[in-house]
Amino acid sequence: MLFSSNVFIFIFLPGVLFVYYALLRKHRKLQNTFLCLASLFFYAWGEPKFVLVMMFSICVNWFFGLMTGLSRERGRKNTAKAFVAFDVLFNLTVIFIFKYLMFAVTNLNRFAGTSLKVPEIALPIGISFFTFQAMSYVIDVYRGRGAYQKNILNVGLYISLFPQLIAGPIVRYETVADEIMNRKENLDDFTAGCKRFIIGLAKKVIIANNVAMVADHAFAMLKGANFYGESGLSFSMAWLGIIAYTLQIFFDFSGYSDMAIGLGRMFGFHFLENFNYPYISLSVTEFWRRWHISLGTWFRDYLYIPLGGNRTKTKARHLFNIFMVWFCTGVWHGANWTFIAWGLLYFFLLVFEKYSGFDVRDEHGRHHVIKHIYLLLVVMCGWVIFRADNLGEALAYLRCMFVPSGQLVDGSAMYYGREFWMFMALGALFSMPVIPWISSRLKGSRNVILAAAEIFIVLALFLVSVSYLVKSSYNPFIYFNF
Amino acid sequence: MKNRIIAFIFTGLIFITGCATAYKSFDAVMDIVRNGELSSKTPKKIEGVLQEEMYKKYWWIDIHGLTQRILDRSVVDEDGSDVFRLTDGSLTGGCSYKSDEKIEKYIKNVKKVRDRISPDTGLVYVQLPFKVDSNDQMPPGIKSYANENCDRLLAGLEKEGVETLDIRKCIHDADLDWPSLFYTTDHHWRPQTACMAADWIAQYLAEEHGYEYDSSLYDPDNMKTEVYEDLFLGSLGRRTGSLYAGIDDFELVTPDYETSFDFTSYPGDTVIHREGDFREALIDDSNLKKDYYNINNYAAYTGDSTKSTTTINHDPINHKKILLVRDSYSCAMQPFLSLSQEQVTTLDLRYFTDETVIDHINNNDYDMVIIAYTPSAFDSTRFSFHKIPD
Repeated sequence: MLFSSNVFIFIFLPGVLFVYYALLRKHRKLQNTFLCLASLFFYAWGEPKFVLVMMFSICVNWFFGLMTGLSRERGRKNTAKAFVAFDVLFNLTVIFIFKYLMFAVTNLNRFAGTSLKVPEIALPIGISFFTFQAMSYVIDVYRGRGAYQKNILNVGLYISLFPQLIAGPIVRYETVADEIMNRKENLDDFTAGCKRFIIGLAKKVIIANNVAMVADHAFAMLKGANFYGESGLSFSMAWLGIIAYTLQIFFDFSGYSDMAIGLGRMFGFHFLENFNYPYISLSVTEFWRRWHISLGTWFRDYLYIPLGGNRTKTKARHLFNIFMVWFCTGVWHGANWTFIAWGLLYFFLLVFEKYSGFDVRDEHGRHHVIKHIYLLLVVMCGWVIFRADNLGEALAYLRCMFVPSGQLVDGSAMYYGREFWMFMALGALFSMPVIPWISSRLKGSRNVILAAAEIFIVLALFLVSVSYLVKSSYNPFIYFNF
Repeated sequence: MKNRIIAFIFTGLIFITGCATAYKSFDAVMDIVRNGELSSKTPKKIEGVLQEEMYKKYWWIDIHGLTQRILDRSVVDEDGSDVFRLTDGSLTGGCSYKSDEKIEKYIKNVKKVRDRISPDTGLVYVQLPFKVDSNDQMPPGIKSYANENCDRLLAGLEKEGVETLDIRKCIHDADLDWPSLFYTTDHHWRPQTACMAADWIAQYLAEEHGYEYDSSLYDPDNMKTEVYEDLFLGSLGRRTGSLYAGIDDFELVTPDYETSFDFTSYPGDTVIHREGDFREALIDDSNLKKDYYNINNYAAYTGDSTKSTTTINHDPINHKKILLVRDSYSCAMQPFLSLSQEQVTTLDLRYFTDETVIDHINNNDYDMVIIAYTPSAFDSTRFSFHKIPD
C-alpha cells in the first residue's frame, strides 16, 4: 500500500486511527499488537506472499535479539557477539537471496563462463529498509543502546511499523526503543504529524509525480520512444529530463520521509530527520550529510566505525574503509552495475574532496557559486547513472547532455518545458530552505491573516494532492530496487 | 492553534470521505471478496472499486481541473490518454500517426467491400472532420496526425477507384470557422455541423448518383434551435473537470417543418422504437437533462452509439435505402441524413457483430453504402468490416 493512494488516506489511516485512539486508548500492549498487525496488513496489501518473508525475519531477529540480550545480561560477551554475528549473517543472507542472487549468478555466468541457472526471484518491496532495521535491533541490543524485547510483537512493531516500512527513513532501534512501550501521544504531536503528512504528500504527488513525467519521457526517448513523431533524445530534452529527475527523486524520497515522520508523530513515535535541503550543499561531503541521513549514519555507525573509521594506522586502510561504505551504499540501492558505479563515483569524489580540502566551507563565501554549480553537476551526472537501466544507457544519456548533436531544442523539450516549468520552478524553489527562512522572519508574529494563510495553503495542498490521486494521475513508485 | 485547525479539518475529511466511500463501495468490494478467489490481484481490484466509488469523486476532479487551469496547463494527462487544450480554449484528444501499413490495410478492406457487394449498390467513403484542423491549434510541441492520416487514406482510396467525399474540404470551401463547429468540452461536432455534413452528402448523392435534392430541407432558416444553457459537459470535459474548460450550451436543432419518422435502435439485446415527427422520433429527451457526469447530452440525437439504428422517413424525396457504417459522429448526422432518404440504417462495428458487413449489405438490398469515419475512429475493428472473404 502506498501513502499516496486513496485506499491508504481514506480507508486504512482513519481505520487505524479510530481503533488505536478510540477503542484501544490507554492499552499500550493492545495498541502495539494492533499497530504490528495493521503494519503487516499494510505490507501484505501490496505484497501478500512476501509478508511471510518479513514475519520470518521478525521471528529470527527477535530470537537473536533475545539471545544477545540475555547473554549480555549474564556477562557472556563472546556469546552475545556470536549471536550478533549469526544475526548479521542471517540478514545478509536473506537480502542476498532476494536482492542479489540473480545479479550474482548472471554476472558469474558472464565473467566466469559458468552456465548456472539464473533463479527468478521477485524482490520484496522495502527489503533493504526492514533488513537494516532488523540488524540495527540486534546490534543496538548488543551495544546496550536499547533493551531487548521479550514480546515478539514489539520486535514486529519496530521492524514492520508501517510509517517507515517501505521507503524509510531507516529507524534505528536506539531511536525508538523506549517509545515502543513508553511513548506519550499528545495533541501537539498529533496535529504536527498531520501537517507534516500533508506536506510530504504534496511534495510527492504535486511535484515529484509531475516532474517524473518529464524524466521518464527523457529516458524513454533515449531508448527510442516516439514523441509525436520525433524520436531520439535531444540536448535540451536530456537536460530537462535530468533536472526533472533530480527534483523527482528528492521530492519523492523526502516527501515519503515527511509522511513517515508525520505518521510516526501521529502515533507518538519520533523518527529522526532524513533530508536537510541537500541541493544547497557546496560539496559532495556536505551533500551526503544532508541526503538520506538515516542511511548515511547507519553505514557510519554500523560499518565505517566498526571497520576502524578514520582512526587507522595507514591511509590505505582508511581509503579501504571509505571504499567499503560507498561500495555498500551503491549495492544497497539495487543489484545493478549502475548502482555500484554510482556509489563508487561518490567514493572518488569524497576522497578527492577530503584530500584536496575542497569540502571545507569558506566562511567568507568565496567560490560558493562555483562550488554549488560543481555540486549540482556531479549530483545530476550521478543521477543519470542511478536512473539508467545499464551503464551503456547512462553513457549515452551523458553524451546527449554534453555532446550536443542534431536539433538543440526539439518539440518534446518545448512541450515539457511549457507544460511542466511551473512544477520544476516550485521544485527548485522548495529545494532551498525557503519555508524555514520565512518562518524565521515571521517568528513571534501573531498576525491572524498569516495564520489563516498558512492553514489555507496546507489544506489546499491536501485537496490538490487528493485530486491528483482521484484522477489516477501518474503515480510512480521508485523504490522497487531499494 | 494553526496545527490544530489543520489536523481537525484533515481528520474530519479523511473520516467522512472514508466512511462514505466505504459505504458506497461496500457491496462491490464484498462481491470481489465473495465471488473471486482471493489472490495477489484482489487488493488492486478493491482499490479500483474504491477509486471508482470515491465519495464526491467529481468534486475532486473539478479541483484537479481548477488546479490545471491555474497552472495554465494545456495538457491534462492521464495514463496513456491525454486531453489537450487547443488555442481557442476547447478540448481535444490526441491522434497518433497511423503507419503506412495500417492505412494500406484500411484502403484494401474498403476496396474489398466495394468489390464484393452487388454492383447495383453504390459505395462512398465520407471523411468526417477532426476537431483539429491545423497543428497551430495544438499546444506547443504537440502534433496531431489526424489530417495527415486522412489525407493518406483518401489518396489511397481514390487511387483504388473508391468514391470519396471529404467533409473537411467542404468546410474549407464554405470558409467556416473551424473551432465553432465543435463543442468546447467534447470531441464531437455540434448538431448544426452534423446537419451541414448531411446536406453535403445529400448534394453529393444528387450530383454523382442522380438522387433528388431539396436544399430547403437543410436550410438553416427552416430549422428550429432550442438552446439549453450550461447543459453539456462533454466526454473530454468530464475527464478534466468542469472548472478546466467550462460547460457547453447544448443546441437542439430540429426541422421547423412537418416530418414523420419511425426510429428503431438496438442497444444490446433490447429494441427501442419511437415514431412521430423528427423531434418525437429521433430525439431522446432523457438525454436532455442536466447531469454533467452521468448523462451524455450529445446522445440526445438517436441515443448513445448502439450496434444498429434505423430511421424510416414516411415522406422522403428519395425512396432509397442507405447503409451508414459509422462512428459516434453519426449519432447527430443520421437524423439529418434521413431528411432526404426513405431509410437510413447505421452499423457501429464496435458493437455490431451479428454478421459480416458484406453479408449484411448483400442480404438487405441497400442502394447506397456510406462509410463515414472521423480520424480518431481509425482502428482495425472499424476497418475490418468483420471479416472480408478473400
